[in-house]
Amino acid sequence: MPFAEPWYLDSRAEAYAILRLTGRADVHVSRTPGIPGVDLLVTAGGSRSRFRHCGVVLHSRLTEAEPPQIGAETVEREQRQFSEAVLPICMLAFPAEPPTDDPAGDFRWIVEPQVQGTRAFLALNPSREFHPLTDERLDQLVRELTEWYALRSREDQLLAAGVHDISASGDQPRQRRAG
Amino acid sequence: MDADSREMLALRGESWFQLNICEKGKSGRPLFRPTYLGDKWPTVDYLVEALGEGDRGAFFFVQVKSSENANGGAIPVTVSDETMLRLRAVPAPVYVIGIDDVTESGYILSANGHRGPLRSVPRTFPLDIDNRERLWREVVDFWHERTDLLPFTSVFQDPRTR
Repeated sequence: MPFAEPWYLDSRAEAYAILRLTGRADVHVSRTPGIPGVDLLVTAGGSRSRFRHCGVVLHSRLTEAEPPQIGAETVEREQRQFSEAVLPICMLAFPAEPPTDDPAGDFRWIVEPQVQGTRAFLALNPSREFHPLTDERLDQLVRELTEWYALRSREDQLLAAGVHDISASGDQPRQRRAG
Repeated sequence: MDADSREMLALRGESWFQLNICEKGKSGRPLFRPTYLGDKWPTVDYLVEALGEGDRGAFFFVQVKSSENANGGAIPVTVSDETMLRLRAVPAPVYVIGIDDVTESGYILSANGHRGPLRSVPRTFPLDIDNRERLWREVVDFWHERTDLLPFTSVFQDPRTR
């Protein structure tokens, strides 16, 4: 008998997401991020890299037979809500009743960390498409965060040294074209 | 193990409990709804409602303790005498759930009747479908069948201290 009350779907999606993410030693997870609309805070690199944060918004559904889906209105809301985000934010989707005990989950960026030349900036993602959160994709996520924060840190050092033309548009997320 | 690893171990244990306590019962519906209380509640981690009791309500509290060093035996945990005193003072059923992070299994132990500090949780009462049903009955009976004249005696008591 299907049991699809929102608390059940959300509670189980949260638990599966935490178990999936904390399976890695180089990822720290906090369930009280203090950021409106964000459910978890992931820190890439473990305890010595406290500043490499990424917000996680959870998306739940009943079974893995249903593909993870969000509507156009969800993307519109994200684009308003996170237009001034100062850290990368992704969405993770987990079914409440997966066929295995350790579902991999699905992933999409909401606010994507991007690098162009020597500039690190954030881009709002208008795409509704999810990608399987394979081990390789999780590796890539940690790598992207590490590289983005490293470049961002270098930019901050240059700005502090008085070099001002490196990140004129890097402070707030830009609209990324769908595609 | 550093503080960061301990924190992640604890978070994994809480998530395991959160998943398993709301697994469906024999009726095909979850028996319990857990609510995480967060760091502002130092003594207990979850308030858990027994479902299916309508407006009558029935609930219990849980502290989750995880270990990756159980090696097949009782789950080693550290709950100080002071914390056990606070747990016993709660006027509701309170349980310590010991989680073996290696085998991903959890075990129930009543804190209400336990005397002294707690060093381990025995594997006597696994958090499985049968014990979830027994737990549901015990919590509902506590709130609706018990008279104040009788002390609360849980079936999930530590067999080593009986």
